[in-house]
Amino acid sequence: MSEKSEAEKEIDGETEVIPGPQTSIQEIEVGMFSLIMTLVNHYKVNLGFSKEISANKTAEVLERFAKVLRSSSTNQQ
Amino acid sequence: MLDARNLGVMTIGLVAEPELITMKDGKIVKMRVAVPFAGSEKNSEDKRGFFDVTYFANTSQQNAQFVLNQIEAGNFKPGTTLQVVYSLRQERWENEEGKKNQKVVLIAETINYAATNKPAETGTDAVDVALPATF
Repeated sequence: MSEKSEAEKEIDGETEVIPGPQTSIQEIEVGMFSLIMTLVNHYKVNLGFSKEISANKTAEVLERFAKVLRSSSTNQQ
Repeated sequence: MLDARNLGVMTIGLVAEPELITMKDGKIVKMRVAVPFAGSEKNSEDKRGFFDVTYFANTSQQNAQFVLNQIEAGNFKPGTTLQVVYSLRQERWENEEGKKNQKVVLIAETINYAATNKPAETGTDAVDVALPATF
């Protein structure tokens, strides 16, 4: 008899199934966006957006914020 | 004082209606919330932790206006899932008998609806809205 695969063991109840995180990608995205924008607003960082932005711009916000941080750290050296 | 060394983001569930306190220089929002996987109790399956959240609503800030509008519209009901950017504050005091006490409070810096606003495990009626965080 061939050895059972992990999936088969799971179906047969031989493997303990540990529930994974319930967090969705959207939740993480909004969280990261909120976190970065809280810092941006507090320190009055200009990310160069011309109008109000929302969480669908998270990737762009991260990119622009990273550039600001890199440039700021270069200036300090 | 906001400092990146004491700053985090978490998804919370409201367990009660927020309390709104009007001060001379703005409004303070006080909320009782449940946080998943933040509690520990011997012989209990309940893994939620319960915390007090304080939010200083400076109405010159866009997020404060949003939060106050949502509260006034009655949308922050028990069961609503929110996402908060917060810093921790440990309050310490001594009672009349000289016993030292402490309590951890979350100071909310930004409050938004969670992206997937679903009924919190704590609550009753979830609000059927899923607004993106907007700045």
